[in-house]
Amino acid sequence: MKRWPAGTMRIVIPSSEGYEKTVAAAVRVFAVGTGLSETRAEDLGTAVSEACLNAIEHGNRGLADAAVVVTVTHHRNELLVEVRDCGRSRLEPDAALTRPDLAERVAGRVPPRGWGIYLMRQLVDAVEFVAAPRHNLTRLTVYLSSRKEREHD
Amino acid sequence: MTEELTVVSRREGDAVVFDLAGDLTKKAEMAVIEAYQRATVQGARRLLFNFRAVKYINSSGIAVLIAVIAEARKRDQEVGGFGLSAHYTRIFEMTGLPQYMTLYEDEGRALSK
Repeated sequence: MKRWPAGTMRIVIPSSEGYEKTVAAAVRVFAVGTGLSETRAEDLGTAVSEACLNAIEHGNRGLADAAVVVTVTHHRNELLVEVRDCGRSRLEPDAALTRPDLAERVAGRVPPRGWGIYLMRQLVDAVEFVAAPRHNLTRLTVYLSSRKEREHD
Repeated sequence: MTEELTVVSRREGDAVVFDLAGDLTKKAEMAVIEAYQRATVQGARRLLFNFRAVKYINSSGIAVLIAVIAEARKRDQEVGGFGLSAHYTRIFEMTGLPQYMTLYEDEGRALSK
C-alpha cells in the first residue's frame, strides 16, 4: 500500500473548464474540516478555482490531456494549496500585482478579463508563483487564525 | 462540471430583467450578450441581472458582465443586479463592479428605483 502523509489531499484534473468547480468544492470541505470558517473556506475555494483556471487556460494552454495537480496540506496553523500545471506556457503573475483598472475596462479601452490573480491575492493570506522549467506552481496559503479570519468573525 | 447558463428575459416597465440560472463563466458569454442585444433592440433603458439561481461565478464570468456594462454605457443604459449571494457580493466589491452595476437586495427594490 502506498504511504500518504496525514493531512494531505491530492486531486488531478484534466485541462477542461468546469473541473475547477469540483476541486474548489473538495477544498472547501477539507478546509472546514480543519477549522476554517465557512466564509473563509468559500474564499479559499474561489481562489483555488481561479488558480486552476489559470493552470488550464494559460499554463496548459487548454490541452485537455495536460494534467493540473492540486495538493492540499494542513499543517498546524496553515492550509497550503499548490496548483501545478505542465508548463506549456509561463505564467506572468507580476502583471496583476495591483487591481486591474475597471474604468479602462468599462470604457472598452482594454479587454475586460484579467481578474483571476488579483482575486486570489484578495481571498487568501499569501499567493506565490513559481515558474520551474517544466511546470508552473501557484501556492495559496491560508492561516487558520489570520487577520482575515478574525475580520470575518 | 460547469452548469450551462440559461438567460430568460422579461420586461418590467422600462427595465428588462435577465433571470440567470447556472454558472456565469466564459461559456455563458454568448447567452448573456445575445440577451443584452435583444433587450437593447426592444428599447430597454434599464438592465437588471437576477443572480438568485447563479451558483458559480468565476473571473471570466465577471469579464462577461464588464463587457455588457461597457456596451450599456455607450447607450446610456443603466445596469443593476439583485439576488447575489454574500460571497459573490464581496467578490464584486473587490473588483469595484458595484460602481457600474448597482446591487439591490431584491427584485422589488431594484424595480422600485
